[in-house]
Amino acid sequence: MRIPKFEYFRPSSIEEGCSLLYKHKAEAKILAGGTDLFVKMKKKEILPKVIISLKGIQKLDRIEWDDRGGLKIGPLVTHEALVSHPIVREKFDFLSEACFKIGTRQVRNMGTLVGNLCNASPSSDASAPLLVLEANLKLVHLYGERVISLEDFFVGPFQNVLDPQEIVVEVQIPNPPRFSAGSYEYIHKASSVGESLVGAAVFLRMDPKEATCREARIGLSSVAPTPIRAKAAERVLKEKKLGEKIIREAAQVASDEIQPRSRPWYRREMTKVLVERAILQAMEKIR
Amino acid sequence: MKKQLIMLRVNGESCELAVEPQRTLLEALREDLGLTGAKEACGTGECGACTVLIDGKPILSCLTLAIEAQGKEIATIEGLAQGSELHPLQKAFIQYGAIQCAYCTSGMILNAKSILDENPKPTREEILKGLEGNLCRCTGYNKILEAIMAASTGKD
Amino acid sequence: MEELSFVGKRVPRKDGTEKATGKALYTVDMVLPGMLWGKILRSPYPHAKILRIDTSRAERLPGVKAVLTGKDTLGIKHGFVETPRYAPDQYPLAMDRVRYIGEEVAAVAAIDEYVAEEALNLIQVDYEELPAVFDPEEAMKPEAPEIHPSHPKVKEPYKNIGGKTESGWGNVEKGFAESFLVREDRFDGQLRTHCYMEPQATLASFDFSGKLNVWTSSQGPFIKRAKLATTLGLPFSNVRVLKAYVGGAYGGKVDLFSHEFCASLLSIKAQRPVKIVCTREEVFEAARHGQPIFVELKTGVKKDGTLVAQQVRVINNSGGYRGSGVVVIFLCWGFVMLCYRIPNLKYEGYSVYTNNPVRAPQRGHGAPNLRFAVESQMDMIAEELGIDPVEIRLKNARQKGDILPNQDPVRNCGLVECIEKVAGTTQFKEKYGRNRSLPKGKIRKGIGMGVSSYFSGSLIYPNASAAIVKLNDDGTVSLITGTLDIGQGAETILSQIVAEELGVSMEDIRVVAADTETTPVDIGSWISGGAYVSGNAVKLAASDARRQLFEVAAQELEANPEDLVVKNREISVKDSPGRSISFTQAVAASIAKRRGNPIIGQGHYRTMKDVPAHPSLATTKGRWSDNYAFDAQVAEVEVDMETGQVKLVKATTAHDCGFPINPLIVEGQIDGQVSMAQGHALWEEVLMEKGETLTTSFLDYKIPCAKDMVESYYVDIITERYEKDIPYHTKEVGEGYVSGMVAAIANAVYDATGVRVKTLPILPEKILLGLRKKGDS
Repeated sequence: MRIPKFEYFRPSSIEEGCSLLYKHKAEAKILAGGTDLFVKMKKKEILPKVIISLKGIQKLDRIEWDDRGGLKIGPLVTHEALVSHPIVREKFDFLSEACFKIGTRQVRNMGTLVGNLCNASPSSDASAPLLVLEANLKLVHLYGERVISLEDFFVGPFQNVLDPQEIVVEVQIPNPPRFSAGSYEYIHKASSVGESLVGAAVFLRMDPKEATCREARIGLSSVAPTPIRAKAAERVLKEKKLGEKIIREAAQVASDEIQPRSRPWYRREMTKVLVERAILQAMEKIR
Repeated sequence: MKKQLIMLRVNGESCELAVEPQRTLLEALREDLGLTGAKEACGTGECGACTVLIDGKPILSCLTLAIEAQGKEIATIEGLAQGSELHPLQKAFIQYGAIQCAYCTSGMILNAKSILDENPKPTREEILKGLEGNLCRCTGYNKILEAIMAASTGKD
Repeated sequence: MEELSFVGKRVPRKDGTEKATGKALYTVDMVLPGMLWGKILRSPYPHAKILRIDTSRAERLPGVKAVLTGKDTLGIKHGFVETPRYAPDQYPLAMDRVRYIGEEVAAVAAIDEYVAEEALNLIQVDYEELPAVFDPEEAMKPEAPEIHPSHPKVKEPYKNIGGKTESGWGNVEKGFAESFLVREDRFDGQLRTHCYMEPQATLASFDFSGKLNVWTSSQGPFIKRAKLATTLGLPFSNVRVLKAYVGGAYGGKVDLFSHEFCASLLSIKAQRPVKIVCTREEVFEAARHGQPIFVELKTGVKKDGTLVAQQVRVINNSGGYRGSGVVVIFLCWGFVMLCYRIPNLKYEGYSVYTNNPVRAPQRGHGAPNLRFAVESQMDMIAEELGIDPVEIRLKNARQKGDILPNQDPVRNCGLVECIEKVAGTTQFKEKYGRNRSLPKGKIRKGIGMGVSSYFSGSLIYPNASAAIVKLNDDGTVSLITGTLDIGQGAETILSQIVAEELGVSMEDIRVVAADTETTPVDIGSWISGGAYVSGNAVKLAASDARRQLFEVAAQELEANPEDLVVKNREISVKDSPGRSISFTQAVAASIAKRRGNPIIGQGHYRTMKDVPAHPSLATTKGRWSDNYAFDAQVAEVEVDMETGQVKLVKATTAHDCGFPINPLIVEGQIDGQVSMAQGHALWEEVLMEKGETLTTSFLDYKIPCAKDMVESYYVDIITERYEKDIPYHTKEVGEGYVSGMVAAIANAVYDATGVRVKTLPILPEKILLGLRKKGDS
């Protein structure tokens, strides 16, 4: 399958990239890893006349962390880099694990987290962990910049709020508070590789003395037009002692919040199972 | 679109080619350089038959632009053997019956090489996880695993 | 029996080095000077009249060198089956009507694929849509739209019948009346597809002498030559189909494909070589998938489980043309009657046209879905009677010495031994049923058995294989064979036979293969006769060469030919090692003293030598095969009771393959078929919606990946042997092991969960729904 023809630019700065976007507008697409873009182009789903590659810009593959600002991930950071980075593995372990699930070894070497988020697939494995980590995205265009939450970034299947003239330059993840942990559970659609049928990320902050949940965040992917937070289910757990009954109730509520397009009955059942498993896993980690 | 003159380092040699921007590394290797070992079985990133090593890492050449592969060391299956001396993985694949139709073999061996280069003594699970992106319809993967385990322990 | 040096040994593949170094050339790799790229325009409608095609704008596009539509062809039809009863029914390029989405309507050749694609967009086709039907039961109804007239010989008033197979013996009604237990069930097998890694591809070059040279990804060059020559109106000898390495086929590359015809005709028109490579999307959308069938099975048994009567009805969904549909309904009869003795049988199979892409054989060609049905029901019957699954199978199993209902004698049937050994080695009886009384657990284990059988070679064009073994004067040997290695190791096993007969090493053998002009005829790698038919042809050729060699050597050494032995390219006198002569010397002597005879051996073989033709597809009468392979397979699964996901943990295959020419290759074939069975049983399905293929990539249609690898074990049941100087009997190993494993997996899932799933694939939700219905979760 051939990639349709295009004009190629390789700016050496973000400003230059934004200029090019300003000039070419909707006829242009940003190239990071290419694993989503070129597939879509080969299938004729999109046909940009202009490709603007980020690969000529220095330092976009950086992962930065400090104990005040949290984690900052550049647009050329690959999934593989997040799988192996020691800080990510230690402090954002379930994000690292989710990245290890994405694609295949080759795709993880090429594909970027930012590219994956911009693709806005409802079933992206990284999105549920990032939603419960309350990640933000920093977007720049020629005349300014803005920071929006990941939750607000997704608006529909493969649809995000990115303006054609904007470039995502950073994923910002705040440091998790003390006595908290997150986990990610998923089930495959078929075989042991490929898109998840359901992905469930749970983030819990517990009271250090009592077994009470101070805060719960539940992120679900592949069960709705976008990755979502199951807020009603979160409210079930908040300020409660987490016993078997309440966990099961939260899982049930979560499965009622989804809007699956295909295999709906099975997706509801699996949402229940995975949310329950993820809650128990997160609790285990805090212990 | 106008063609651009580029230099690719393939198997230790510098090659000059003229390519359009959309030309993939796979097309450049197969059609411009005659290195047909890397194959296209899907073209959309699921099969791994187009796997080559770029700076030692396994990547999909069907989704890589030739112009963006400049300045890197590209290794294809044709460069693995040293003259007539096969790489231990190649020998093991032949000896253990891990080759049938062989359409997946080039990508499989290169990916396996990158796994062993990273970790000379991987577990079975680590090898199978590492190969999840290389589809094979003939062998069921059994003898492929056997061959890679044998090559990793230096068994002959 | 003397000790063998090559046959029966784990010899590494002859083409291993070429393949491991990336040097092996497949059709997609080949280039010729001046080569053009071709592309095909396909119908977007499942059923339509073609009113008008305007190619003028495409012809005018710079870079386009040839354009074809049906009117540029001779309008000669082809088909998978071409017999008086089942005449060919498909045009290589549609003429006035299209019958499935993806049917080929036009083709272009241009300087590159971009121009070719642009040209396709410039071809204007005016269609008049016709009503369409997609489900075979709907298509059989009187009010269904007519895709083709029903076959005139079919008496029932069904519509869209491509063919019918009817067979039986005894009296099933009486049998059911006398049975202790009668069960009636329906089992549905899904539409699945081959997923060969090398896509369909053809390179055709019509040269200055009027010869068409074709390289194509196929399963045998001789049938391709015949169909290409016929549809192109060329003499067979003007069409040369040459060897290319093949990246997998599994039944999906046997008969004529439109792109092969188009590449050839475009080359003739453009006077330049033309290559067409189908994209993976095209392969999913328009290439031939495996025949989906459903089976209605009514079985009556005695109280002790002995079969009394069986009534079988198979409906196949063959797509817009007959394809191999009329073959699969014949084969399903075979797959019913091979394994068990059935005193009374009534079999009916219908091949039904629908507005879907044409279907083809896929590894097992009906056996996987059929054995899934029969073996599932056997377990259900066994449970109702309180008998264990091993006993009921042993009670009914085919035995050596049986004469099959079509008068084929069953040579050396190892089925009973297969069942006993596989049950023993897997501790089947200890493990089966352990969940009935155990407390509930999150992960449940299950074990199941499946039994199947496969024919090994039958008569179909070109009906025979021949081979030439030529001695070179440096002592090496050339094996010239029409056999095509499609990955199954054909060239290797044939070389092993030559090495054995002639006392040379594998490295001394040069293989020249699969060229319709220079190599002798061969039955092809799709009729399960490679080891038996082509193998015997090669054996005879090699022993013919040896006989001539010994005559010369005997003269030179002043000995009797019977006293000579050959090893390491040396011929010596038994018990007198000093008296010897090398191959090189013998060939030189032959040329010098026997009027230039360089020693060329030839051999030929045909299965069922006195039988005129293949059995009747419609009545099943007639001899079918000389050899039948048998197997008993056991699957061990783990089921996650919360998610319904099934993991195939262990697969054991007891196989009566006769004798293995190369155990390493046989194991590889078993592993691959276990993997295919896993996908077939648990998740593979081509999804269609009103004739449109929804699963068009490996993302949508999942085949097992490395992490799905199953521990695969083998139990060899040897029932034949290899001896010098006489043809041997052996059985196939390439197709029969999918079906037993699919059945075994289904039975294992039942053992683990108590849920019986009768439609493939066994998706996790089917198990969960079944558990809910039982009130068990």
